Parts: sequence; structure tokens; C-alpha cells
Amino acid sequence: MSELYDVIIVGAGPGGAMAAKVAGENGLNAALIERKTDIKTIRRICTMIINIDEENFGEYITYNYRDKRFVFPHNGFSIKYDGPYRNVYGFHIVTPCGNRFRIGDSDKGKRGEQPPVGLMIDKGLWCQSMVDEAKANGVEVYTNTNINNVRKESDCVVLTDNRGNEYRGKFVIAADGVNSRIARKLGFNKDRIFLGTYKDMARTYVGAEVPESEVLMFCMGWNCSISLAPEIPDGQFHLSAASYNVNDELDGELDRFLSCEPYATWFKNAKLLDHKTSCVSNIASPIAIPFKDNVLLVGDAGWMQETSITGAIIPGWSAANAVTEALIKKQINKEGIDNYLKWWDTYLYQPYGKRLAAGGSAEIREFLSADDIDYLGSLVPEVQPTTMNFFMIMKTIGRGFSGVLVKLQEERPDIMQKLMAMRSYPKELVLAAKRRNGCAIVT
Amino acid sequence: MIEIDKDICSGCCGCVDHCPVAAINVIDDVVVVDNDICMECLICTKVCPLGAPQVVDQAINN
Repeated sequence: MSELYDVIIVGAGPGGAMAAKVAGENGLNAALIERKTDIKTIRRICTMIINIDEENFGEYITYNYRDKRFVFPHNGFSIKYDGPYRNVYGFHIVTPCGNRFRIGDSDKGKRGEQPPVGLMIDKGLWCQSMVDEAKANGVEVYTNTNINNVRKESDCVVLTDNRGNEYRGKFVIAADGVNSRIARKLGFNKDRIFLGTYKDMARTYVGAEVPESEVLMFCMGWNCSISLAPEIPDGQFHLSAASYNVNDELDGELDRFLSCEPYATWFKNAKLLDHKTSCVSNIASPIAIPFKDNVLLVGDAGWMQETSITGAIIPGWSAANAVTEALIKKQINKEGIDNYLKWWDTYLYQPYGKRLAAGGSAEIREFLSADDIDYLGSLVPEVQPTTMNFFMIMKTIGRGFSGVLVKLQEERPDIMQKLMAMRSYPKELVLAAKRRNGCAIVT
Repeated sequence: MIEIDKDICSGCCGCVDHCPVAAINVIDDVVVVDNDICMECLICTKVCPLGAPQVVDQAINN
């Protein structure tokens, strides 16, 4: 019979790498299992931004530039990050003709007149450095190992890999991401609302000339969602297309985008780089209690989509500490790790998870034309207070447009009517379309 | 049978995650289909954003 670990962590993304690092520091007999061989190279789409200097999930992360550490003062820990970074100053919605709804001022930021709200980092390098620390602290790291099954035995959890090897742990921390196979195998998905399959792909260009580029740019009014973001090296950009319809042709829509002005000019001298990324996420409602059969789900594994780096690292930290406490108390059960469930409920599920579970908004493109969106994009020229907190972005959009609703009604009652129709479109029909256009997997 | 076109695949593992029978794995950072396990449900061909999983005629391959 194989060795019995205190805890086995599945997945070496930010959540799993952090959990492994903490398990190592706490002196646990731990293993980390990752299906990639090369942890550094990120193959899934990611803009790799970490929010700083504002509230996120109850935390106020800041970067200590002197000692090169990300500091989590509310939770009380810090992590070394000695890699490259780039400041990000906000979030812009860009309409087809190039109008913008601006949250944060890219130009002011560049001139040092507005502090950054995000740092773009090399996530792969960061994960690798946390895994290296875990290893140095005695955590056994199995790369190139795909975990395909999980079962509970009387005294442990047993994981099975693609070669038929078994790994036994008193606890398992599942950090296996948005399409978590472990969550699926434990039957969590049966109780979740399926909110669609989100498919995206990205290209990296070098040498593009993009105005007001030090922000995340979300381009609306296309046949799919197009986003544009700088990457860490100067002049390097990440261009992605995404859709809730698995039949959509993302590649072709990116080509169309690049053939239209002003984008054609921005990318006139740009060269496409080799490294490509993509992603398919099955979006299901967040899990209320991310624990079953001594398995703790962290980050996206228990969420629906993108808890973000912050929302992965903190639960990774919290889960590994909760497991440590449970082992000391000799409570190898739900009560033992209660602190983790409390964290999840307080900072994720109650404030956001419940609301997201009730989600399902209609597709804008089915209601508004590109011209309609251009018009809306001309209504609020003032720069809004900056944030990179997803939930604050939504609030800021609402606040920004609340002041121009009267003008909108007077000038373009037709658009107002479309917006109202979109708002009152029955949720059941939205969800039915998402089911039809997606690939839900329950078993 | 299904094969992943290595030149197209980005290695995002979307198909690995979606495969109902765990017939797709990442081995040495390359996504590979085990056609002994595969039931040809074609979910992988549907979910891939890049069109990397492809139906290959077995007769030609043999």
C-alpha cells in the first residue's frame, strides 16, 4: 500500500501552489500533483493581473517593491515575487468605433498621476517559485501526473492517476481549476446550475501601437467578446475572443476585428508570436460548502469562473492552514477544517456566490447592434474612479450610466427599449440557450 | 478515432477536463487521446477553441 500523506494537493496553479507551500512550511507530510511537466508555462488564457491596493475578498493586497513580496495584511501572510511586472490602471469598455467607457485613466497612470490598481505578473514563474519553496520544505511534487479519479476509504482519500498509481491522503485539497474533475467525481455538479460553456482563445502580438493601453480593454459589439490587454514586455499585447456558444468561430472573428479601424492601424506593424493560449470553462454555480469526504475545494474548483489569482491564493492558504489545525486537533473531518469553510462562506459565498448562482444574463449582442453600442459608448466621456475588482467594475458601470438615462430616453428611445427588453428577458430562456450552446458535464 | 493535432493544440487541457471517460491526458506536456478508452462522443471536438481534436479514419491510420 502506498504512503499515507497528511494532505495531497491536486493542481499547481496559484491556489494549489500556495496550499503546497503552506503545507510544507507547516511541516505536514504533503504531496502536490500536477499534470503539466513545466509549471512555469501558462497554456490557459490568463491576463495574469493581481489586484492591488483595494479590497478583494476581504483582503487588501499590496506589493512591497523593496522586498519584492506580495503582502496580504488582512489574512496575515506574504509571498515572495521577484519576477517582472507591469502596472495596470483600470478597465475600459471599447465600442466598435473606438469609443470608450473608462474606469481609470491609462494616460494619467503612465505619467504617475494615478496609482495602479493591478499588477500584471508572470503567474507561471510565481507558481513555480511557490512550488520550489514547497519542495524545499519537504513536499513531494509529482508532475506529469493526471489525477482521473477520487474515492473515499475509511481512513483516507484515494486518488488515482492515468497510469493506475494510487495516492492516499488524510485530506485532499482540490485545486484542479474551473472544470474540476474532482468536484465532478465527488458529485458536486449534480446540484449546481449550469450557466454555460465559455470558450476562448488568445493570440499574442508584438509591436502593436495601442492608445490608452495600460488597462484591460473589453471590446463590445462583436460577434463574440473580444478583449485586449498589454503583456509585460513593452508593445506586446494579448488579444482574445470568447463566446458562450461552442459553435462560434473565434479565430475568424479576431481576424475581422483586426481588419476594422481603428484596430487595423493599431496592429499594422504587429507580429503574431508563437505562444498561444486558449480555455474552455464549464460555468456552473458556485459551491456553497466546498468540502466532501475529506476533500477541500479551493479557488475555481469550487467557484464558477475566475476567482482570480487573489481568490485562489487566499483559499489555498486558508485550506492548508485549516488542514494543519485539523491534524493537530485529530479531527480528520468537516469540523476539523471548519475555519476554511467559514472563510469561504464569509468572503466568497455570502457576498458573491449566492448572487452569481442566481445569474444568467441575456447576451447583449442579441439585443444591441454595433451602432447602438457605439452610441452608448459616447454617453459617458468622464473617466470613472478606477478599480480592478470585478464586482466594483459592475457597480461603476451601473453608476456611470445612471446619470445619462434621461438623455438616452430622449435621444434614443429605441435603444432604451432594447435595454429594457434585455433586462426583462426571461432567465429560463437565457439558461436554456446556454445549455443548448454549451457542453454541460455532470458525471 | 480521435487524434489531437499537435500543431494546433495550445495545451489548455479543455478537452482533458471535458472528456467524460478520462481518455485524454497530458503526457510530457502534450495532450494525448487514449483511443482504447475513448468512446468517440466527440465532446472534445466540440469544446476545443482551436479545433485541435480531429476525427481520423482508422483505416488510413492502420
